[in-house]
Amino acid sequence: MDDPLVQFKIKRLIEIKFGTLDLSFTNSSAFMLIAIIAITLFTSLSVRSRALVPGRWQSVAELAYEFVAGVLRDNVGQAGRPYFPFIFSLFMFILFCNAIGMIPYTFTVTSHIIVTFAMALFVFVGVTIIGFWKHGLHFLAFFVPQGVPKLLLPLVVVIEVISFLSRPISLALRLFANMTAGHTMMKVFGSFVGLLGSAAFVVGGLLPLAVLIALTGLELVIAFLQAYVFTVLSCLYLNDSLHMSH
Amino acid sequence: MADQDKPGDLAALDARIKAARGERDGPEKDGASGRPSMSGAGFALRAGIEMVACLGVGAGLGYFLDDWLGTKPWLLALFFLLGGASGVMTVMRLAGRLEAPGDPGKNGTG
Repeated sequence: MDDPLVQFKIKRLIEIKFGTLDLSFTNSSAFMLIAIIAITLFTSLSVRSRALVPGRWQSVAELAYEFVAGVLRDNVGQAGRPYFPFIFSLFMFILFCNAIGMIPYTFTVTSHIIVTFAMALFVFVGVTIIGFWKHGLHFLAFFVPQGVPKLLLPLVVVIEVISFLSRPISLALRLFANMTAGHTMMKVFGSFVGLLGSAAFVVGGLLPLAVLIALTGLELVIAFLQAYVFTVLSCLYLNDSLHMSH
Repeated sequence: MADQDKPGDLAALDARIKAARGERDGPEKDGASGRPSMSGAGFALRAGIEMVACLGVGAGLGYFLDDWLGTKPWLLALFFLLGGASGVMTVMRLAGRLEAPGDPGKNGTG
C-alpha cells in the first residue's frame, strides 16, 4: 500500500539558501502562488464586463462577495466594515487552497499546521492590537468577568487568559486537522480500490470506490465549510475586540 | 417595468431603494447575536479541539514558567489543571451555558 502521508511531503522546487536560512521555493509555495493567481484571475476577470445583470462568472464573484459581507455583518455588525478586505482575502485564500487541494496530484497547502498557524496567529495578533487600539488599557477588562467573588478573581483571570491564548491554536488546529485527516482518508480508500480490486477480481474494488466517491463529496463540503468556519471565528474574535461586552 | 420611468414615480423608487437597503444592512447591530449553528458531530469536534488547545496552552505556559522561575514540576501541574478548567469554560461558553466575560446580569451557572 502507498504511504498515505507522502502527499503532504514538502519538496524543494527551487533551492534558495542564505547561510542557515532556507528560503527555497517549495511545492507548498507553488500552490500558494497558484491559489493567489487563481483568485486574482477569478475576481478580476469575472467582473470585467461590469454588467448590471451579471453573467455566470460575475454571479459567482458577486455571490462570494455577498456571502463574506453577510458573514461579517452578522457577526461584527457595521463596525466590521473596514476589515472586509482582510476577511474576504482570508476566506478566498483558504477556500481556494482547500479546493485546489481536491484536484488529484495537487498539494494541499492548508494541510500543514505551520501555514494555518501563521494565518491564525496573524488574526490573533491583529485582533489583539485592534482591541488595545479601540479600548486602550480598558481592553484588559476583557479578562475580568463580572460578578466573580474577589477571592476567586486571580484564578479566573488566569483561566480567561489561557482561554484567550488558546484561540489561535484551536483555530489553526481545526483547519489543519480537518484537511490532513480528510486527505489521508481519501488516500487510504484510494489504495484500497487498487488492492481489493486486484485481490478479488475487479468487483472487490467497487465497495471502496463507492466510499471514495462519497468521501470526495464530503471533502468538497469540508473544504468550503472549514474556510467558512475559519472566517466566522475570525469575525467573532474581531467582534470581541471591537465590542467588548458581547 | 415601463411605468417606472415616469418622474412622479421617482419618490416611490427612492422609497423602494431605501427599503431594499434597510433590508440588506439590517438594523444597526451591535455585535454578534449568536454562535454559528452546527451539527452535533461538528460541535463535538469543535469542543474537542478547544479542549485540547486550552490544555496545550496551559501545559505549555506552565512548562515555560517552570523553566523561567526554576520551580520545576509545580507550575506545570498547576497550569495543566488551569488549562483544563479553561477548556471546560470555553466548551461551556461554546454550548451557550455560560455568558462571555464582561456580559453583565445573568448568573452563569446554567
